[in-house]
Amino acid sequence: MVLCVRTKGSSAGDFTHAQHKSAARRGQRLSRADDTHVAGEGTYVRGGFIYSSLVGWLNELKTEEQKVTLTVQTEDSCTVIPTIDAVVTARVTNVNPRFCKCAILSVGTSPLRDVFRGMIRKEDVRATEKDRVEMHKCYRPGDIITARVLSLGDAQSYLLTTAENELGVAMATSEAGVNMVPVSWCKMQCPKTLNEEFRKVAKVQPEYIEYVRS
Amino acid sequence: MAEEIRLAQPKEYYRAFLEKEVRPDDRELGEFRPTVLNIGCVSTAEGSSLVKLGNTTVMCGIKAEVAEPRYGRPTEGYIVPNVELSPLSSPNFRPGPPPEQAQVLSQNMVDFLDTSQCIKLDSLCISSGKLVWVLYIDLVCLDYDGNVMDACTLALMAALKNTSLPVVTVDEDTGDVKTHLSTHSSLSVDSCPVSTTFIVFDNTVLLVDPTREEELLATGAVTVVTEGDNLCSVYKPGGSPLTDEQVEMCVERAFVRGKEATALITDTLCSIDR
Amino acid sequence: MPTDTRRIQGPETSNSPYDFCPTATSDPALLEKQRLDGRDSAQMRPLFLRAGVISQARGSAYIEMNQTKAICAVYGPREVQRREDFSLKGQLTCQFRFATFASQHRRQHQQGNQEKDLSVQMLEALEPAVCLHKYPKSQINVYVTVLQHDGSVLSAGILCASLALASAGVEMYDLVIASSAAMYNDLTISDPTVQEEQAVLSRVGKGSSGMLTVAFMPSINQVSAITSDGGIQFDTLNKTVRTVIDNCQKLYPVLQQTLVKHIEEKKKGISSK
Repeated sequence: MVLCVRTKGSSAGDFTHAQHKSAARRGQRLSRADDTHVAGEGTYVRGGFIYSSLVGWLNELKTEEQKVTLTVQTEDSCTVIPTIDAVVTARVTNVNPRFCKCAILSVGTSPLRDVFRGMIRKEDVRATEKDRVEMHKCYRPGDIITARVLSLGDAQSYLLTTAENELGVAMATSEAGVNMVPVSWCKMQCPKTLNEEFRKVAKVQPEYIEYVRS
Repeated sequence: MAEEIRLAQPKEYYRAFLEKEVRPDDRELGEFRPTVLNIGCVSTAEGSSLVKLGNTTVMCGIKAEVAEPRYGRPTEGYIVPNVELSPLSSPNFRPGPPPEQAQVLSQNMVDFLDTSQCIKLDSLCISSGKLVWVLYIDLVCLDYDGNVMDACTLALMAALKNTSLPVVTVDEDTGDVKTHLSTHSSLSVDSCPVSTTFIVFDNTVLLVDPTREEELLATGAVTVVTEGDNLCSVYKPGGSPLTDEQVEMCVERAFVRGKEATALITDTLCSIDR
Repeated sequence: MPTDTRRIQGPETSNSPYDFCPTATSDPALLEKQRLDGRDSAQMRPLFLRAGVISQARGSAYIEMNQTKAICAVYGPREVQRREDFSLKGQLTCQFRFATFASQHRRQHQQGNQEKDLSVQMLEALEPAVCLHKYPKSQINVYVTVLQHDGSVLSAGILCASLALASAGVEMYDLVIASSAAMYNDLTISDPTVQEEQAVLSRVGKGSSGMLTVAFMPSINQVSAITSDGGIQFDTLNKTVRTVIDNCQKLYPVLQQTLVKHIEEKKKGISSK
């Protein structure tokens, strides 16, 4: 059984990033699963060995206690699906007094090729004054929002929440069709007509999203 | 960041590019994507071709069968073109009966062949009143990245020119049909019509050879079919209105494209014969 | 037959011109003589493989075994369209189609029985290899279309789908490699063409003859599916299974090379952007 083939000197320039990487093939036996080797993402353990479950680049991450975590990554993390606690970007498609429906466009920074349906219930819109939420004053169809996945939901949609300051409407267009500017946590203003519209505005902080993702 | 805007607000993303008269894929507004043509790639079909228009891929296979002619039209054969938008080609197509778009495209192919008269139905006659050819033309879309119409018409013409039929004879007395596999005859294709599709963006800007993304944002579309120096048809299914100048511009661009496409078919056929 | 209003219709009945000439396909002497394409009985056809051929698909592949040509696209993991029960395990679907012009006789647009059978056989061969527990609530769709049929289509379809799934980045225990063989009495022919398949199947019932396809996962040394048609002696079948598994082992490096080439190309594509 051939162990993982490290890239040879000639082509090493193409492949070496920071750590040492080599092409790992699906089903390839990478290492013995013992005290010093841990199976990470893109690998699985079977019969005392770690195998690759993806075709991609092998990464060896040194952790404390002399352990090595083996992970296999593909070039584009294209098989993302929404997971619990992930921050997602979604477009609102449907609003009614009890909940709103949305189409999840990306998970973290990875855009999805196919949209997944999500749902935000009235009580998950914000953290305070939950009983006084009026859905149409929070979201309108077409808004781009950031939200967190609460649970896998039912057979149809994922359950999302925006009950955090940093979550809610990130982009919205006014009735005049112009991108609006947030003026408070619950209002946005149209730069053209100066009309104010109600929204559950997100306090978008890139660092925060970065932190949540890690 | 650019990718995120493209996803969330595609219209604004495109506007920013089109203001500078360039498209996100580096093309000019009147520029076609690179066209690749492969003829005779499926040997089980009587005629076949594969067209790639950028990423868009369409394969055309022609199967010939024999049947009795229609009542009252003893010498006319049948041409049966169908476009299949396979679930392979795009996440939007699912297995099952053909979607509306495929039905429209199939009908477009019928109209395309009818108006250009590139194949005379009489030429498909084997024995008057007894037996005629049926050409089943199946166009399978393998990769849907916009402008399947132009890819289909090009594949259709290339496959027709490649079609060779075994010689079939009908015995005058007994009515027995016999096929001679050793001799083949090619189809007589009288002309080579070419279609050129434009979309209208924001009711004003015209883009030739749209990608899938551009088609989704379009406010209208127009297809011009030309044949050499003649105009065959202009097909504009609703959408935003165009001025006379704009339509004229489309027709002019279509003539240029028509010559390029005809030359491409001729060149490819020549390279196969060699 | 009910008329299909969604397609352009031809005449009610039409016949293939090949019905009116003597056929050489089921010639009984075909198997005893040397193979038509000059191969040894154990020799497989050269394989041409390419991954990443469809821009819209998550993963895709194209396969050519001389005149057998197939293309495969993988979509997903995506939402299950029809309302079904909540499931923490992902779902895999396979659709196997022939293009209407793929064989000498024209095929219909609607999915036929043979296609349905092959779809199920392909699903059964691929399912054990996919880590479906990693994709809760989602569906992975595999679509295979045979563009030209010249024998061993099931193994071509499985190879192609396996490659497409890998290029899609779907987590799998191993690549599924499939290979076919035709048997007639003591004779075993690897990777038969359509003529050889027909010759063998036309003699089912007259002695031991039949077809066999095995799907195998080389690295974990497991067989995921065995399909056989016809009536075959137990010993012959056993022996042939071994031969076919050996053939699968031979194909494994070819697929791996294709995939490594594919991800290297992809990497270059991304870094050049």
